[in-house]
Amino acid sequence: MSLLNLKLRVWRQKNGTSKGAFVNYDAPNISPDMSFLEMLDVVNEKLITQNQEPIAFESDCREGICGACSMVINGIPHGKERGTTACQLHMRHFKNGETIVIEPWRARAFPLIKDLVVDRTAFDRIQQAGGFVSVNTGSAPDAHAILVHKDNAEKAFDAAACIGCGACVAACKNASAMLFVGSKISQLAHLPQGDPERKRRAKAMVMQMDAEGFGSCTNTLECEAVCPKEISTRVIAELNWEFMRS
Amino acid sequence: MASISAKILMALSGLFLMGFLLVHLLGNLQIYAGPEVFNAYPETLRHYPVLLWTARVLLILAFTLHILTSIYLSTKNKAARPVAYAQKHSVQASLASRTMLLGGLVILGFLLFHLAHLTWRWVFPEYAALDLYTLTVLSFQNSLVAAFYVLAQVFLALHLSHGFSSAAQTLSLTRWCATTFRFAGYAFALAITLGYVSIPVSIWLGLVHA
Ligand code: HEM
Ligand code: FES
Repeated sequence: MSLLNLKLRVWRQKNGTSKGAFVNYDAPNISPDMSFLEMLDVVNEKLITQNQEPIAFESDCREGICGACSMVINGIPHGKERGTTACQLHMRHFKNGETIVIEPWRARAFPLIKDLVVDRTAFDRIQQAGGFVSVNTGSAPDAHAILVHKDNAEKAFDAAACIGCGACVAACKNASAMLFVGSKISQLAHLPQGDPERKRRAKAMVMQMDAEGFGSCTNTLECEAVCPKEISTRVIAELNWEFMRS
Repeated sequence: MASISAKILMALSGLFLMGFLLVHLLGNLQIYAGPEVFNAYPETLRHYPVLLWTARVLLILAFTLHILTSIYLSTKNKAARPVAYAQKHSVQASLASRTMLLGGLVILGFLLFHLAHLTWRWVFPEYAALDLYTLTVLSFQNSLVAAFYVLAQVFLALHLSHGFSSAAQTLSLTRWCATTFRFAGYAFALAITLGYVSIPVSIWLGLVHA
């Protein structure tokens, strides 16, 4: 495949209080084998040699497991490829000459820090409110000490795939965090270890979610469509159930 | 109030209103049985004032609760995204799911018109003294009124088609199978809407006449 010449329209904003705007950049000679973030690296290297401020974006693992890379690409969080994070999105999915619009997650609960970087510590505070199991740490128990039914293990594992990237919030018309909170709740609700604290957990996490300023779920199902781990909105039904029981 | 608690109240009141829509439709369809039967229906209701007023009070409560929770949640939802996206694409959100507030407001406007038309009889003062059957038939011969009723039912269909499965999800019935409720919602919305729409349409076409 031949190299791509692309145009970028990127949201630039110095900090949370200044006014932001879109800036156009050329991204010439992009290899279709590059990831989206590598493409941005190339653009940034050129900006640096021209003494310009590089585009700020987050990344860490670059293999789809940490959830750091957060950006809305052409109107869809992480871009239009299903089940893919921005770092795993390959440039071969774009057409030569295409203009790509890149925006940060937009939500009151995710205040903007710079350019494409937003503050997602609201998720940490929701987790700290109850997304854990209180146990005394010691040596690890034997793996077969507590038996878990295969179905429950599968459901817990599906929910545990959540990497906390926030794409669900970014995609939701209400900036709701229900898919994230549902994943964290569901993951523990199916395991015996999660059982003793389930009521306190559901109540505390929902209260924190509301306090952070996320919207509520209107079941448009947009979140599951953009989730890089393809987590189903079944976890939201489970969250509703756990909350009703609490 | 927790957002999920408000959603539960909205879902329960919405489902109650859906139950009313079904009962109300069954009453209205008696128009096809002719003036005697149709005119007897409100008369019968009036013979049971306790029942009638309990139903009315419950309906008003359900509507109030539904509208209050919708205002409460919609305001918060709008506030949750103060800066809009310059470019945003929906991947799979249905039209109905994205227009619930609009649909609800149209239904509310329609409801007030409907009460003014057939309950309070303000819309056609010249027919006000007639029996209900004749009043209904004469007013739907007016194309504008018939068209407005049909249009309102289209919005109702959209609202119900999403509302049904949305309520099932809020009440967590979808834990086992979401698809069943999605299609049950479409079927319910379609059946209700076709039933209601058939009345102004068949009168306007002259199939039902005074
Ligand atoms: C006969 C009348 C009505 C029926 C049967 C009905 C039914 C429903 C149902 C079942 C839901 C789903 C609840 C949920 O999401 O869990 C719903 C949602 C909603 N309704 Fe109604 N409704 C009616 C009238 C209205 C009116 C008059 C308004 C006026 C503002 C309204 C506004 C809304 C809103 C904003 C939602 C939330 C939409 C969402 O979740 O995306 N509805 N309705
Ligand atoms: S950088 Fe870790 S998921 Fe993309």
